[in-house]
Parts: sequence; structure tokens; C-alpha cells
Amino acid sequence: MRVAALAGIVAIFFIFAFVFMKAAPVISHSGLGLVSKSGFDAQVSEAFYAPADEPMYVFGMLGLLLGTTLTTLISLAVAGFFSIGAAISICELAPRAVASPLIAVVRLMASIPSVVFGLIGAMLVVPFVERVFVTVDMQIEYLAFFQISGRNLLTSVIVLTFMIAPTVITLSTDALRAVPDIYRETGHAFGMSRFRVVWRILLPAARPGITAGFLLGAGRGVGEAIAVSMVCGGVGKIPSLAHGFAALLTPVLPLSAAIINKSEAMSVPAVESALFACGALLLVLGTLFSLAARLIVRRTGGVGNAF
Amino acid sequence: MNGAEMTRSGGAESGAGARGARETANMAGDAFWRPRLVPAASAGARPEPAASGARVEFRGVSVSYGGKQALAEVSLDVPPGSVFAFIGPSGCGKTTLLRCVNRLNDFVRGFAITGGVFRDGEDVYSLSRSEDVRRLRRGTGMIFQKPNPLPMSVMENMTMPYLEHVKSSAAEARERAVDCLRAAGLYDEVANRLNAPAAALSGGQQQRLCIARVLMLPSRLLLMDEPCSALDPISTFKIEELLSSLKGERTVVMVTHNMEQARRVSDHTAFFLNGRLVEAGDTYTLFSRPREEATERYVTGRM
Repeated sequence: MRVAALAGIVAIFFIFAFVFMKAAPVISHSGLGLVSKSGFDAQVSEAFYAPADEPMYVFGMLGLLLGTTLTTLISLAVAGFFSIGAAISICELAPRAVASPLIAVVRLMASIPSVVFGLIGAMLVVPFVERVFVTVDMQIEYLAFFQISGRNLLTSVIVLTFMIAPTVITLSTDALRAVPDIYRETGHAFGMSRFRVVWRILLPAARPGITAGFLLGAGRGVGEAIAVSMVCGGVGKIPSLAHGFAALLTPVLPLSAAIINKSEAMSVPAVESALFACGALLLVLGTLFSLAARLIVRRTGGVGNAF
Repeated sequence: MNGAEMTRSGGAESGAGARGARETANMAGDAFWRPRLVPAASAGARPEPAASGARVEFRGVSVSYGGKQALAEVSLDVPPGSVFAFIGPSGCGKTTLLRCVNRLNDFVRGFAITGGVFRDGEDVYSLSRSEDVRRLRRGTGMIFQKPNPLPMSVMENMTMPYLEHVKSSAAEARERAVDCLRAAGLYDEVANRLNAPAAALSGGQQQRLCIARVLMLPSRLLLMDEPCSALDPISTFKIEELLSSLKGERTVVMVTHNMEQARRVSDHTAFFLNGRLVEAGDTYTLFSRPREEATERYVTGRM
């Protein structure tokens, strides 16, 4: 047992070490510009065509970083909202005859391979977004900034939402089911309505489990490569609030999708190092996410303050 | 079954009557409404109970769970302001009867009841709107066998149910909470732990917290389901003391396995056996000159 745990820790250490070693040339040449500057797409082709004796190691990944953060946070918010609602319906409102098939469907959804989500996204969601939200006038208006198509931030968020939701629903249902019945009875004995019992008693009691669901969902959002790379647009633009709604239609390129999209150019050492830098950023981002979540749980999860 | 009697069903039993279905529909339908607010007791006041305890009557109550009979034809009067003890061996139906009074059995699958349970003359099973059922429960304090503090701080436990029903400021609720904790004799023990999780208190303190919490809402009826069965003798003594101070202003109906406790604190006692009421009367008579042989055997510990 202890040996296995130790082996796991050592393995994780080596993964970090290997990724950062491979990424070192790009990180050292780019410095802080790696996370504060953009232009990754142009830099990749520049590096690809650079002469072998003067390789190009300077990259800016702000666009990719924002792509990952935005797609993950927005889809987590949307999926979280609906997932908690779904979990409440399954556990507290639906009769057993409805609840069991529902939960079976949710678990099935969680096991669909992500490439299938990507395929459905590319075949159904992309044309849908294009038809509903994109107009020719809009395309002309924003031509100076980016080319609007059906592959963009919004599409990525829609696809990711469906991929995150099953995880969050499953863990939230488990958490709600684990709340002892005595808490429900206590609430009802005080004459609270079903909704108030859920809101004031069950959700707070289930919060640690629900938070775990959000964490796993965030993990999937950050790490999801294939499905997102099929619908995200493949250009690391930075959505700008100045564009209003069109900001949602900005083509993006999250870090993990970038690794897939640009992997054809990996024969060039500089590009390879750049992609490992993407991987390094992903590792850092994942660590930050889980630290932040732990902090949030510690701040709000306890029962320290009465009001 | 008598044709005039109506079968009433609660819970999710598929064959349940329209009432069960309607109850569920109501609860889902008005889920987003806050419960109707009861007028606040005079602000900052002590936890003052209503003038006198409620009257509870059972008329030919029979209960079954999924067709299995749990109670048969129980008729019983609980006089206002008295402490009434239900005794009897495990599984005799006394807890079931207790939970009929505030309709907490509604959530049990397959629960069905015939006969009438009256609270101050009102048939509680004739209430069809979930709002009315909630009003009934709000006006009835319930103490469970196992202390049931909610997973929040001591103070939140006290104020949350109160603020659910009474339009009041948080500060006023906290003041009232302190008064109720004092009334329950718990304040001095928890004064510097009001913001600590309630689960950190000892079992006896948790149970007294639950009693104090019940005092927050003006109720004229307390239901206690073996309130001391999980507690040590000293905690039990403190709760019994507390009970006698509540008597009169509130009617207390209490299920107990502890014969001594029934003898010590109750005015009236009812003895149940196998889902039937064997004998009921004032506590002294029932323990000293039981009419039925079964009662005598039970109270003298031979059963």
C-alpha cells in the first residue's frame, strides 16, 4: 500500500519534471511574455518555417490560457446550475420510478467517450450555432478582428457543458442521497416546505460532495482536448467584452486543444517545446484550480459563522 | 371496514388515494413560495408559550404500512396542559401514533390511516393544503429519539427554523435564541461556543439544544419520541426537570421505554401492546392498580 502510494508520488514528480524540462527552452526565452502576450498561431508557423540554425523560441500563450479559463468557467457555471437542479429533482422530487432511469441515463452520459461528444458537436452544434447566432452582416462587421463561424467559444461551452454536467450531477446526487433522512424530517417537523428543506438544510449538508463534483467537472473542462479541439475554431483569439455578444462567437483555442491542433508541427523542436509549455501551463492551472477549490471549501464549508 | 370511514393515504404508494397524490402535487407546486409568516411574538420577548396546551384526541385510529397493520382502533384523549406518556414494548405502535399528530408519517411509503386525529378539535388528516399541514407542524414541537441538530452552528440551529417562519431581524432572533437556551438550562454551558458546530456538543447538550430550538417557535404541543433513550442519567435528569417546567403551558406527549421516567414526569400514561391500546389512565393508577393483566406484567418488568 505504502509502496504504491510512494510510487504514485514519484511518478507525479517525474511527470512534472519531464514536462517542465521539455518546456524549458520556450519558458526561458519567453519569460513572463509566455502568459502575458498572445499570437500563438502566428508564432507556431513562424517557428515551423524558421531556419534550423536560428530557431524561434518566443511564444505568447495568453489567448490559450484565457481560452481554457473561459470555456471551463462558463461551462462549469452553466453545468453547475442545471446539475444541482437535476440532482435535486432526481433525489428529492421525482418518484422512484422516474428517478432510477434518470440516474442511469446520467451515468451513461458520463461514460460516453469525449470524441463522440466532439463528433456530435461538430455535426450538430456547430451548424446550429452558425444558423441561429451568426449572420453575414456580423461576419463582415468583425472581419477585421476574427472570422466568425460556427466554431467558437459558445460552441465549445455548449459541448463542454454537456460533458461536465453528468459528472456534477452524479456526485451531487450521491451527496444528496448521503444526507441522513433525519435532517429532512427535522426540517419538515419545523413546518418547512419541501423547497426550503432542500435549500436551507440539504444543499448545505451536501456541499462537500457537490464541491467535489464541481472540482472533477473543472478538471474535465480544463483537460478536455479532443472534443473541444473539434469545435473551438482553432485560433487563439482573446474574446473582448467590447464586442458585446460577438465576444461569445470568438474562435478560441484552449491549451489542451492547442496541443492537438498544432501537434502536426511537432517535428520542429521549438514547436515541440512550445506544446510542452502548454502542458506545463495546464499542470499549473489544474493545481491552481484545486487549491482554489480547497480554499473555498475551507472558507465556506465550515460552520464557523452564524450569519 | 366501516363504509363511513375514509381511507387516507400519504407517501408515495402507487395505489394511494387521491389525497396522497394531491399532497405531493401541492408540495411540489408551491415549492417556490416561502411559508406563510406567523406574526412575530412581541419583539425581544422571552420565549413565551401560548396561554395553554393543546388538546389532542385520537378517534378509532388504525394505521397500516403497505398493508401491514401497525395500529388498530386506538381512541385516546390527551387533556390540555398534561404530560402524557406512551409506554409499551418496541414495535407496539406508540411512535407511529405520536407521529400521526404532526403528520410526519406522510413521508413514509405505504402509510395509510383510518379514523381521526384531532388537535384542538381540528381533524389533522382533513387538512388537504400543504400550507395547512406546515402550519400544523410549525405549531407542534417535535423531539426525536436521537438528538438531531442540523449540521450548522449552535446559534444557526436556534435561529434557522425561527427565521424560516417569523419575519424578524437576525439580531432579534439571536436574542430570542439566548432566552430559549437559558430556558433550556443550556446557555451557561454553550455561551462561548455559540458559533461552534452543534455536532461538537455532548449528546445530552445536543438534545437540550433541540428542545431549546423547539421553544423558539410558539407551540402549544410538544411531541417527544424517547427523548432520553440515548442519554446518560444526569442528562436525562436535566431534561426531565426541563420538562416539568414546560408543563401546563404546553401539552407534552412522550414515548418512553423508561417506566421510571413515565412514573416521574407524566400525569397520564397509555400502555400499548401489538398495535392496540391496552389501557390508559392517570399515571399513578395505571402503575399501582392496573386493570389489565398485561399492563401489570409490563409495568412490573415481567414482560
